[in-house]
Amino acid sequence: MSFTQQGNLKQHSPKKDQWVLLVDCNQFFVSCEQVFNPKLRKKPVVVLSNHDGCIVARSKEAKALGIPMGAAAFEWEEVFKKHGVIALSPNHTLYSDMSSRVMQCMLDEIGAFSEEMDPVDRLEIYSVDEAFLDIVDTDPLRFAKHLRAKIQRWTGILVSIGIAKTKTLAKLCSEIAKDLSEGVFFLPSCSDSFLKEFSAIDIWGIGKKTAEKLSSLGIKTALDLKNANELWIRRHFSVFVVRTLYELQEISCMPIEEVRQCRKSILCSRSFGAKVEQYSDLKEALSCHIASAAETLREEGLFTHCIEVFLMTSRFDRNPYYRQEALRLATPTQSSFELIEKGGLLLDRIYLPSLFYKKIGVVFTDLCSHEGRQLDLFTSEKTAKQHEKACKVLDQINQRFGKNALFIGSQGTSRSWKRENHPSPSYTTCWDDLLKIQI
Amino acid sequence: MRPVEMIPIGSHSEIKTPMAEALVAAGFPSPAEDYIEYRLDLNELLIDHPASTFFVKVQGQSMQEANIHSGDILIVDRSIEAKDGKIVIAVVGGEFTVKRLRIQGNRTILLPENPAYPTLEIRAGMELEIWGVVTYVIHPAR
Repeated sequence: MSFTQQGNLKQHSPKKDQWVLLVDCNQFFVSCEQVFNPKLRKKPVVVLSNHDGCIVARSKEAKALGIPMGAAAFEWEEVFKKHGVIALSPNHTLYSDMSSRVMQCMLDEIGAFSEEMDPVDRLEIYSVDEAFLDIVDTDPLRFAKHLRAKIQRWTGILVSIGIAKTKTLAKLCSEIAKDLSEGVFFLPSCSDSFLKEFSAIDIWGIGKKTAEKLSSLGIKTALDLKNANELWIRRHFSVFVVRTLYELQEISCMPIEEVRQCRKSILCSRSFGAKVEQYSDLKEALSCHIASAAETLREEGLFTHCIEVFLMTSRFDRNPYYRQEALRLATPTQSSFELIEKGGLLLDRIYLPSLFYKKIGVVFTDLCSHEGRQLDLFTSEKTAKQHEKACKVLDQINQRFGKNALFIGSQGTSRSWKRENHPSPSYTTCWDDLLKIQI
Repeated sequence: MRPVEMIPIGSHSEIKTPMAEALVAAGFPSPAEDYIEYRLDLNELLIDHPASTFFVKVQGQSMQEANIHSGDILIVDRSIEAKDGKIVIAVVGGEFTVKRLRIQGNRTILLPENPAYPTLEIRAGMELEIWGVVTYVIHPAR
């Protein structure tokens, strides 16, 4: 892959058969639960946030009932009761493990198709349930269908795949793919009629404020943005918008493997130029990634509940090695010191000596804002004091929890208001939590 | 008589004495150094595809003649094709079960391995999902 530079904007025209895939797991948290509990399938199911506050995942059936993402769970209590909606506490350990299995499937598949580039460099884990792939294939649609079937077979997770020349377009395509029964949407070349169908806010990377500003200046659709004068855009908006403009024109500006952030997670990783074997070097690289990602947390005013570290050798090694381990924090944090310390513990667990590592990275998942942090009533006195300032909505939650067993945990136990969080068993990471089958 | 010149032995002077052949900086030299291998690892032996391999625990007697007993842990690989004769984890009517899969022409049958238990034939309209193929059974020596 070669890049030319224009100012600080790296652009590159993809090779003839070079494609970007965006693989997106459908209703990921719910899907993970459904793999191990068939009784949850084809039913309205939601997964809640930490301490069962908000709805963070919905099955198709729950979505059809009009239950919105991010809504406060107690506000929808009546709907839950009326329609038999099953509400589950989150089990991020399980989701994290299932995520690493899905990513491993993708790594396996890229390895099978390409020889000249290390598969590790062709996969970018964007969040716990999304990844970008960079492939060279004369029939990317066949590849994507095969990959989708493989992921479903191997892990039980269904994904939607968008295929296009750039990441931004692949993201749009994956949204379309979600509503198709075959789950794959291929955009061999981007037409104006295609772009006209999307508003600016539908585009990945264009937030509400940017979309409003664009709209006020006459740019309302993806087509409008693609056709806008780039110098003028550069003057009025950030370089990210200019990159998006190029990407809509099928000029790739976002190489696989940059620091990525989104509301769901923050990831920081790098491939090593020369392979690394020494623990101390890995620890140093990891600490830098963690510091960088933690800075992003603080800039965004976010805290993380969960830190994951992953480590991989080259796929071409005789015995390729890929491990990922996560740690759930008792209290969400944004402290570099705390996160570097925890990251070190995870590295200790997954590091094996005498291997030559190609890539190391860290992911922060289950992020919350400062407001979310104040809802952690039962964590410590300090947060309880912060709670004194919290609004009456919080009091209502307490009352509700005290009144009735609203949520049906997957274990079928009713929940008292003092003990929130009855997550599903950690089927894949805890021996005591194995799936039990009556035979 | 000339006085003996006393030459102090300072910290910079060296007294060479023969020593045993050098200790290598990294540790004791070993003829086996070039052949370092890892201890035997059960994961390597038992798990071909970590991404698609899961463990389940079973309770019940219906598979005793296949040497699967109550309390055993099964290693299950979802990537293996479920062929006739394989022991599988299946989901029938929303419930998990472990049975031997028989495919005879267009008939699909789930067989227990215990004469006291009924055979289950999958008929039209019944929902069957093969969740994975059992590769190993783990139980203590009895």
